[in-house]
Amino acid sequence: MTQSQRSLKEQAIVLSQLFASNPELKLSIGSGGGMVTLTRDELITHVTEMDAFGEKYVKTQMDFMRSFSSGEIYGVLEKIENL
Amino acid sequence: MVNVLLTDPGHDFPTQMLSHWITSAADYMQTLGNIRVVHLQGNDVTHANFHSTVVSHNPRLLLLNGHGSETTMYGHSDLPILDSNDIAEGQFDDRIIHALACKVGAVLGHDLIANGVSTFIGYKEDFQVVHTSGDLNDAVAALYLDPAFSVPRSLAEGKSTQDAFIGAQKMYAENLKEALRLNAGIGILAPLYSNMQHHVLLGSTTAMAV
Repeated sequence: MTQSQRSLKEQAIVLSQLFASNPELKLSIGSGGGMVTLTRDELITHVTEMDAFGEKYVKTQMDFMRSFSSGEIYGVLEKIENL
Repeated sequence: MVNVLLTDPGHDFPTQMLSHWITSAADYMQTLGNIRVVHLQGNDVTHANFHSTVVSHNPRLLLLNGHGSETTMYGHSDLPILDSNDIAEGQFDDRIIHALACKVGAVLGHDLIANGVSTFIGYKEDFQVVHTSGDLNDAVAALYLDPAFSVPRSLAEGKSTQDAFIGAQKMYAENLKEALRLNAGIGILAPLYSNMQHHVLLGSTTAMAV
């Protein structure tokens, strides 16, 4: 799979998650030294267009999904529990 | 009596959420009896006011709330109040700083430690909050903000920086486990995991604010 194909696949996965999410969901996140609040529909637009914010959002979502599917997250949680 | 300085710009919805939570933490601190809270709010959160208040009140603990970038902490209207290139020699020696802001743990936190700050606790990536309403008491937002603001509370109670940090990490982990158990969507889980993973403690782990 090429980098381009991988990016398209990740974009599709994150969009499918967004379309299935609560339409009332909003995300407040840093942007260029400030912070923005985006609705679910605005997130869908950013990810569809894959602008800088869309790419950042996809990365955060995919980082979590990779950690979850590999089981890494449970190791992280166990390590924190034992601190 | 220990002085604690809060910056609380509150000029947009995200900073108003932080304002709601830090005001609640400040109210709690005042009940502890040994803490005087100096609360810089709104238009007063300027570079000049921030630095003159540090000099005049000599706070042991600084609780910075607002927007941030790798090198800069911002005040009202997103104007810089503290920057990696603008750390006066000796001004922050032996102080403990908690920053609820995006990314300042990436560079600014390290520069503050290199310039004499005892401990810096903050985030090295974007701090993210998911919410489902415009209500400052939004229950979903609490998943993210309750662990974050446990740090100032713990420091005010006399816990070491490491214990305050670990306490917050455990709260993040508990909230994440609960959200996983309830099959919360990835849109809620991923930012919570990101905040937990990018939360950093720099400098002394044994310092105490009170």
